[in-house]
Amino acid sequence: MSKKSNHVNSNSADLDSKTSVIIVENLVKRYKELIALDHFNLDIKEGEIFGLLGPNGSGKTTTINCILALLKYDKGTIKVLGKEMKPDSYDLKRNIGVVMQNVAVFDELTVYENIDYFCGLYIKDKSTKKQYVEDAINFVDLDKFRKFYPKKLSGGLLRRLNIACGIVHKPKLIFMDEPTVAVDPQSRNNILEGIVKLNEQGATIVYTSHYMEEVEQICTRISIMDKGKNITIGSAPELKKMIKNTETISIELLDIPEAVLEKIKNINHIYKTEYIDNTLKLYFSGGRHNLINVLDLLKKEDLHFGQVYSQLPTLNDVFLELTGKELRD
Amino acid sequence: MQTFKTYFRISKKYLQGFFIYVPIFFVIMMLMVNQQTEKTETKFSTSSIKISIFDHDHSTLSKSLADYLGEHHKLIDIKEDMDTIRDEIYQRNIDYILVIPEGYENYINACAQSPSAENTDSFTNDANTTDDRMLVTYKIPNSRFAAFADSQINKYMKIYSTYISAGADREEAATKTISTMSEETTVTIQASEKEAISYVHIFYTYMTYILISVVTLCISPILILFNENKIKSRLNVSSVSPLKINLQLALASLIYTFGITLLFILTSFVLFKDEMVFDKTILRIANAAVYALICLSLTFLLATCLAKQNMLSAIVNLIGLGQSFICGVFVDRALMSKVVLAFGRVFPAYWYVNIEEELNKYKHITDFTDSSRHTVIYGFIIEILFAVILFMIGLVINKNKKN
Ligand SMILES: Nc1ncnc2c1ncn2[C@@H]1O[C@H](COP(=O)(O)OP(=O)(O)OP(=O)(O)O)[C@@H](O)[C@H]1O
Ligand SMILES: [Mg+2]
Repeated sequence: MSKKSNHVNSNSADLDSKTSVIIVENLVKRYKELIALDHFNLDIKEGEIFGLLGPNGSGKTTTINCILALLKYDKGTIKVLGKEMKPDSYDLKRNIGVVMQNVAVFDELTVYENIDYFCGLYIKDKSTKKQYVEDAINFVDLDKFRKFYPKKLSGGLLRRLNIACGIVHKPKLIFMDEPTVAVDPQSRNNILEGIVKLNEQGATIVYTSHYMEEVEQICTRISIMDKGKNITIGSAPELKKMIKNTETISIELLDIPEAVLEKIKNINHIYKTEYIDNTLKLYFSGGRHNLINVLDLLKKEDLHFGQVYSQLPTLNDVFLELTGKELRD
Repeated sequence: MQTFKTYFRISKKYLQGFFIYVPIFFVIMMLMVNQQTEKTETKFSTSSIKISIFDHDHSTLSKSLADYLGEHHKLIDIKEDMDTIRDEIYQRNIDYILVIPEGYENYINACAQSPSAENTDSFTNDANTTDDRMLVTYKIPNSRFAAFADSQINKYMKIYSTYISAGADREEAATKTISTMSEETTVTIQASEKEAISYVHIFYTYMTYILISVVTLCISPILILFNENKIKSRLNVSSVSPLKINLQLALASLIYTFGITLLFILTSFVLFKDEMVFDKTILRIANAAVYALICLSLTFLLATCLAKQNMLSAIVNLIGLGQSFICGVFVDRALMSKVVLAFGRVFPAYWYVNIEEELNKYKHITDFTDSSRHTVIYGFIIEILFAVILFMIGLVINKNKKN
C-alpha cells in the first residue's frame, strides 16, 4: 500500500522538468461518421504510470492504436520518445511494449513458447532471449504453467500471459490496454502490483481502464476521457480537488420529517441533499467536522437511524460532476 | 527466423489433415492396385495359354511346332474325342486345341516348294474351310488368347515356309524357325508389358487429390492464425517489419509444401522403384512440384479469404473431391463424358492428369510424338498460370482487406 500511495502522491507540478515520452497534439480520428478522437492532447513524462480513464467507447484503445501507428489519423501530431511515430519506425518500436486489450497469443503454443516467440521478435541473442523469457515468466508468476496451452489457462492467467508477451523484451515504454478486464480480484491485484514493479524498474507506462479504483491505485496522473475528448488531466488528488464535493455522508433513515430536513440543509458546507430508498445523502463542500455536526443534529431531534457512513470523493464523482453521468453504466 | 521456427512449431498442431488423408491415399492405392492386378494377370497370361495338341503327323515340323508351343504355353493332355474337346473348351479348362493332320509336313513342304504357291498365308482352317490337309483348331470364341495362339502359329508356319522355299531342308527349317520365333516372342512380351497398367501412373494420378487436400489442410490454418487481426496488430507493433514476417511465412510454406510433396515422391520410389524410368520420373517430379505450387497458391488464397478455420475442411473437400471426379483422377478418362471433361479444364488437376496420361503412353520420353510433347508443355504452362493467378487473386484480396 505504501508504494501505491507514493505514486498517487507524486505531484504533477514537478513533472514539467522531466522529459516527455509521448506528446499527442490535437489528435483527430474519425471512423467514417463517428469522431472517435476529437482534438485530443496528451503529454506523458518519463517514469509515469499514466492512466487513460473513460467509459466504454470513449476512445482509449483508439488513442493507443494511433500512438502505435496501427491506425491512420485525420489530424494532429504524435511524438514518441522524441520521434515521430510511423508504421516503419522499427527502432522506436524496439523500445515499446504493448499489452493489447484482446489477448493476442497463439493457442497452438505453450506459455513458454508464446513468450519466447514474442521475445524473439525483439531480441536476437539466444542467451539474452532465454534469460528474458525466464524473467517474464517469473514476473507474471506462470512458472508452474510454462508447458500449458492458453486454452487451459483461467482468464486471469491468460491475461498474465498476455502481459508477459508484451513486456518480455524489457521495453522502456509500455502500453497496457485494459489488462485487467474480466479478471478475478486476486489476479487483478497481482497484475497491478506487477505494473507498479515494472514502473519501479524504470518503465514508463500508459494504462487504460474503466475501473477508477485501479487507476486511482496505481497511476501517477490520469486523463479522464469521454467521447474522444480529454475532460481533465491530473493526479487523483488533484482531480478530486477540482470538484466541489469533498465529502458525502449517507444515513439510513426510515422516515424524515420535513422540518428536520430543513434544519439539516442548514448545516454548514452542505450544498445538496438527497433522500432516496430510505437513505439520506448529504453532499459537502469543505468543512472539517461535518459528520459530528450531522450526528449532533440527529441526536437533538431524537431521530432513530441505522448505518451512517462518510465517503471521500471518488473519480466517479469527478466524472459525474464533469460530464453529468456515471463513469460506469 | 523466429517466425519461421514458430511456423513449424505450430504446424505440428495441424497435422490432422496429413494423418487423415495419407491413410486414405494408401487404402485407395491398394484397392486400385488390386483391381489392376486382376486385369494384368489375365493380360500377362497371353504368353502362357492352356493348349492341347493332337499330333497325327509325327514329323519334324509337327514335333518342333508342338515343342515351340509347349515352351511358351501350358500343354494339357486330354482325350481326343469331340465331346471331351467341347466340354474342356466350354468350361474354359483349355483355351486352344490344335490338331496337326497326318501328312501335314509333306503338304506344307510341297506348297512352299511349288512355284505356283497356293495360299501360303493361311495354315489353319477357319470357320469357312474344312481342308483336312490343314491344321484344325478349336478355341473359345472371341478369345484374345485364341487369337494370340492363332497368330503365333500362323507366324511360325509362315517363317517355316519361307525357310523351305528358300531351299532349307526340313530339319534346318525347323530349328531356324524356332530361333527366329524366339526373337519375335521377346518383342511380343515386351509389347504386352508396356501395355500393362502402371502402378506409378495410378500413384501419381491419385496424388493430385491427396496433395491438394494435405497441403491446404496443413498450411491454411497456420496462415489464418498469422492473419488474425489481433495477432497481426500485435506483430505490427513489434520491431520486425511485416514484410520480413511474411517472407518467413512464405519460405516456411514453400519448404513445407515441397517437403510433403517430396515425401510422396519418395514413397513412390520405395514402392515402385522397379517400374520407375529415369526420364519419365524427372517429368513426373516436375509435374508434381508445379502442381504443389498450385496447391500452395490455393492455400494462400483460402487463408486470405477465411477468417476462421471452421469452413476450411468443407471447402477443401469440395475442391479436392470435385476436381478429382471431374478431371479424371478417380475415374478412367476413357469412361468419362466429353462434357464433364470439358468442365474439368477449369481445374488444375485436369492439366496435371493430362501430362500424367501422356507420360503413361510411352516407355521413354524419347518416344514422344509431337502432339504428346505439345500436350505436356502446354500442361506445364497452364499449371504455372494456375499457380500465378491464384496467388495474384490472394494478393489482391489481401490488399483490399487492409483498406
Ligand atoms: N474499427 C472501428 N470502426 C468503426 N468504429 C470504431 C472502430 N473501432 C472503434 N470504433 C468506435 O470508436 C469509439 C471508440 O472506440 P475505442 O475502442 O477506442 O473505445 P475504448 O475506450 O477503448 O472502449 P472500451 O473500453 O470498450 O475498450 C467507439 O464508439 C467505437 O464504437
Ligand atoms: Mg478499448
